[in-house]
Amino acid sequence: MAKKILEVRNLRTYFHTFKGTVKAVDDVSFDINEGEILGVVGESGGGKSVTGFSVIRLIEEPGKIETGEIIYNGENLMKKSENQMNKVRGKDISMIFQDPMTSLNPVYTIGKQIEEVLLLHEKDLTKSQRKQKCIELLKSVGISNPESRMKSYPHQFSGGMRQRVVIATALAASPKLIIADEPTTALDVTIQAQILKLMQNLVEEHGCALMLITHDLAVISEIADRINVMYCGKIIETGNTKDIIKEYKHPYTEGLINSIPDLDKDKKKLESISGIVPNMFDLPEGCNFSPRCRYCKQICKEEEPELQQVGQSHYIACHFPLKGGEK
Amino acid sequence: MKTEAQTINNIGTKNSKWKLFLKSEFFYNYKRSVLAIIGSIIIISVILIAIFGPLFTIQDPYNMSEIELNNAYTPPAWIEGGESTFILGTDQQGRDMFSAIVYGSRVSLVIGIVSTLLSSVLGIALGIISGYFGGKVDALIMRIADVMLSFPTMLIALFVMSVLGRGVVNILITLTIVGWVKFARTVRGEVLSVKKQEYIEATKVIGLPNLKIILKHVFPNVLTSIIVLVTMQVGSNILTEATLSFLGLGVPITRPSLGMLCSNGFDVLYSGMWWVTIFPGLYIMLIVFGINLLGDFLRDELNPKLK
Amino acid sequence: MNTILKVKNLEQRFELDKGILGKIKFKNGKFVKEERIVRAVNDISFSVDKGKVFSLVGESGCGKSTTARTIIKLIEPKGGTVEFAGENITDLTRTEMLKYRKRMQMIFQDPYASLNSKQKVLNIITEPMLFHGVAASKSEAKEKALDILGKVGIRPEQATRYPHQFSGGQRQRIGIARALAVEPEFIIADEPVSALDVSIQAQILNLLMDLKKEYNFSYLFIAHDLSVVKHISDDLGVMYLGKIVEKGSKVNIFDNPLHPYTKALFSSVPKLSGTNLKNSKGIRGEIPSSINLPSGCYFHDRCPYAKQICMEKMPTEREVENGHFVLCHLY
Repeated sequence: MAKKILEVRNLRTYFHTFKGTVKAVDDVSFDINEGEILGVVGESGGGKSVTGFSVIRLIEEPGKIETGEIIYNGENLMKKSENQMNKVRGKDISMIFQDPMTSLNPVYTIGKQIEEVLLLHEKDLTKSQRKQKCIELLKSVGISNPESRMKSYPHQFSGGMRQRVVIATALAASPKLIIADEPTTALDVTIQAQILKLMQNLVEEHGCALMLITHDLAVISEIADRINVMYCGKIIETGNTKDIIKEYKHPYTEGLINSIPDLDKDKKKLESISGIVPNMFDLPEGCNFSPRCRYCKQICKEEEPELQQVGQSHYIACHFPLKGGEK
Repeated sequence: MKTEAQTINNIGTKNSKWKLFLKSEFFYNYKRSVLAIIGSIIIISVILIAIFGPLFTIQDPYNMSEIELNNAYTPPAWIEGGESTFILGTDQQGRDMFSAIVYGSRVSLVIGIVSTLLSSVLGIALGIISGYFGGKVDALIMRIADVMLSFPTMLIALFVMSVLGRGVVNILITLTIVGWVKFARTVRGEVLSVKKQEYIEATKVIGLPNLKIILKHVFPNVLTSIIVLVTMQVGSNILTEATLSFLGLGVPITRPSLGMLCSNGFDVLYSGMWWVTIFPGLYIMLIVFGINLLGDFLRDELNPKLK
Repeated sequence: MNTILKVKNLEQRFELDKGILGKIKFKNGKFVKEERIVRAVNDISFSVDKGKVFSLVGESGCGKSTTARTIIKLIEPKGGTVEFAGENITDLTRTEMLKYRKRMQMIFQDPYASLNSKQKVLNIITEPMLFHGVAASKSEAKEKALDILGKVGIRPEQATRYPHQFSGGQRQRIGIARALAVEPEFIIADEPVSALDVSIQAQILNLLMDLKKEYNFSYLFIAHDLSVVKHISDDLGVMYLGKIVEKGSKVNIFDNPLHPYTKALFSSVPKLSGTNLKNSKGIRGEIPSSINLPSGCYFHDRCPYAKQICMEKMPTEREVENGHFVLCHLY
């Protein structure tokens, strides 16, 4: 049994806006093991990004983490002060954002930006050691001639190269867990392939865990070990990648998978999920997915389903689990 | 995420503009902004006083027959030697300061508002033409604007006023000449960004004529940024007018504005008759303060870049 | 006559340095005249058959959206010709173009930027109708608009609302309805689903295909997502740096990709089966800037099969099998 690096228990993050409360993350529990890639997938409004930000407690007004435990390496992060949290962020858990164009500061050279992280979290390094580390990091993310590239500014890099720099920055303090929020969404498909491969290799080399948040189920199925499917702030299905893709049991997962046009198969018509994501201020009674679900029965409109085990480490929240990837 | 949720939430609402406004985030934030509410209260009170104030003043300060020279330099009511008839005292001609301020604020407000409207209309028109058509017209308009901006506003205003001479119309012309530049530049910038939006491309794909695109599609979308500018400009024009009048280049002596009232008392300020200058001065400050409070709120709310 | 759109040797470029002053640069202690030109579309030709879907696919910066905007004359072409229904529309003036505007329409990418937020949905649809005389009166326009909105899945009582009251997918439906309003024969769809969630993307793709069946449109479909392209198109062209490097029918290209770039694209697509990336090599490098185009074949510096000739000479288009063209020295 692999060691758990992160345990999230009953996390609730709410946004108190002028129109009411949005339960962006509502009673979510999950674990990440050492060296594992956990994919979090869902559509916009599913709460996947908020979950990521909650883990490192970067939730700003009007959002608030209401309850829950975030246990990193045996310590409950919720009990830490803001100062203590700053030591965790970047050092133990780091984050990669969606837009490589805005997540680097345009007025500093990329060498400076990586060094800054080292200065903050690896205080015993000397200046030349820091420089050496920067070069190693840039090399490890596939940037050729790192010595001269260190002196370049972000605008001198293309989008894919910038995302490599962002990844190098995230790796700088050798974190145990990296949270990547849609890291390849802004990139072209050939570049996306390069970055995904790079992340997969880095996770293997450094032995850190990766929480990969994305809307693209295909991306996740390429690199993740386990998948959490989120809908309206809840995890509705979780399990190993193979279980989710081949043996999905939740109608929403089924809908997501069938919505994707497949390069390998010819589909006459895509089986889309009808309707739209419900109003987050006014969620339906019972199961959140019931208004869009084609298997919906009376009980779905009345009672909210609990997560139940349907296979080894495969859980779903549905009253009527599908029978193993049936169509 | 938040915006998506809000969008969806909006779907169920009834579509009356007023109801939409009351439910909007803008109004929600307004209700919670103490400063914006203070600003609005000041502005509304000032306007109400300007409109209905003359009903309560004890004299018409412009009517020389109602003024008695005997009353000159009466101090405010709460100071020794003050009279309860003249709450804020009187000036060198025996004019009641309270009445003078009420009447003077009408002149100041009218000049502030009308000059802003004139300069905004001119500036918006030039800004839209400049931004939408670009090319040589754009270059010409913007170079003129650059030249205007390279001189201090006050210098241009003083120059124009000394050429045209005193008078309410002349001061309106002056303020329009110095004021349009700000509008033109802001509007041009907005138009440049709106022009790139896909909904403008869509109108071109449909083939709509330029005038229609400008009026129906470009103008409404640059309006919000203009509202902020208009609000702030009213305050700044009141100040410019006050300065010009204070320097003796503004409104005629027969129709004193607040700035002119300040100037009237300036000679005797150090002889102990401070109230003649201070009260009109404080009132100008209050008006501009109120406008700026509201303007700041509007800027924070309506500027999409801050969101 | 079953070709609706014929594009021949189309070129588009943008000057980055405008005016004489802009062209003067200070370099190595000297003033030099230097012009930077973005060569967005470089000599491309293709045609769209009536009732068919032709897709242009490629990564960002390959010129596919510029091609679309040039065809519909949002930007004037810098070279080549565009024939629409047999007529050369390349040099038509604004007014001459009007009757073609009614026949060709466009669907845009960003559902949040493509609708005027100050206009009610109903007016968004009736405006082009009244302008082009598709409806004689306001009441007739309203009736027709509600009918079209119904077809794209917007209920009549929603028609008096403003765009911000709709979700992204619904806004895209409204954008589609606007394009349908003038009853066009040909629709250019510029990445119509790339900004949408997967489940909504499937709904919109289905809607586009249903409408095509009902009205017998032809589409020029611009996309970067190969799986979407495969699902929707009959024919396609793969673009790289303003060139069509490979074009042909869907079957030709997907079953037998020839150009090294097409192959690289295919192997980079993540798949649900989760096996594509692990086994593929992908390609190295990134798209070069279209200001300084590479010499010879534009793809040579990323191409695993590049030979001497690739660095020197731009290949010419060759028909490898019936209707399957490729721009590569290997064939």
